[in-house]
Amino acid sequence: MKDKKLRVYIYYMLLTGLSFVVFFSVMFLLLGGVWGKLALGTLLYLPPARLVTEIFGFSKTKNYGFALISVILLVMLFLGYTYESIGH
Amino acid sequence: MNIWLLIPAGFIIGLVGSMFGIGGGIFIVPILHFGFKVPLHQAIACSLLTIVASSMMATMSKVRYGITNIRLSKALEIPSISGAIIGSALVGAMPIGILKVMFAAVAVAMAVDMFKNPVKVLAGGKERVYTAGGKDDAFADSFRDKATGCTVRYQVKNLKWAVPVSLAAGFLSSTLGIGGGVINVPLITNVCKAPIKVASATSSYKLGLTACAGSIIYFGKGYIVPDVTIMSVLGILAGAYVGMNLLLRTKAFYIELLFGMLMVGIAVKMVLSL
Repeated sequence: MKDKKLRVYIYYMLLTGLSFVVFFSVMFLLLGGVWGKLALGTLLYLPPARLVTEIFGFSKTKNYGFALISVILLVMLFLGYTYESIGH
Repeated sequence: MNIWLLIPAGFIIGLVGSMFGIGGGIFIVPILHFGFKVPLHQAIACSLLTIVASSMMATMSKVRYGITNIRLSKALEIPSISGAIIGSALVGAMPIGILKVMFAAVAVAMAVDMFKNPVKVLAGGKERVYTAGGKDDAFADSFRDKATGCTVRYQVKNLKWAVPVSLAAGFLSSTLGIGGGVINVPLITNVCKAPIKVASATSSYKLGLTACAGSIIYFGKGYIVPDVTIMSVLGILAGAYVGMNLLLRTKAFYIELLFGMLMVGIAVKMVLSL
């Protein structure tokens, strides 16, 4: 199995993130209010967090080409958000 | 309709989506729009977030068991996102009817290819065997198939064709408004010659990022309806967890058979929508 360490990092990152999502969602169902935004906001930050984990993991194993692709994808995600948020 | 019904509906969509590596937007948008009277833009925004949830949950275990080919996903992500950007820029200028017919024809051809192995197995033959063969390249990988108890070693082939096809897939997905998974899975199985379980896992892995790009914008614009989205997300997370465990334990030819049927169904839907 290739990139074994990276897989472990991604697994624990997603496990932590999704546990928070479920916790905030249940709190929203019980209490309402700001918990809903917290749950969905956490969910939205999981894919960029996964990209950051990939950059870290691939750099550690010296797979700089794949790390560069993750950097490009992270920049594309950020630029897309900026482009829309300035009113296009 | 009672909002709590979104939890079981989400469960079924998450289960199917996680098993086949599709997002499930094709199911959730009509359920929210027609069933729960959510305005279309908000239904799309909600569906994108549920795709992120389904993809993240499916990725979690598939990555752990080594089924996802992260490198292949990285190689195909940039072309498919570029294709989607080109497609969304040209969406008004394209003859959508012709594209739909072309997609339906390609979907049927891919479904026929996908049926080959299950038909052989059901007729009493042996299941397709994947071999790494030759020198291992950067994309070759292996995983332990829980259904058979064997370690499957495979080589990714035709990457020089997969990249332009992935660009075309991204283009089609944005012009026809269909999810990436329906195109990704046959692409990875038929062009790259990877096992169906790897295709499903790699597709789930890819989907989260694409859906996130869209949902960040909707979130910023305030289109997200928290209660509806959270109900769907909770159902989908549970469904995706069960779905990925089912994928690990189901024999590959059953998944190929069901996915082929799903492709034929989508091709028929495309033709009927002309």
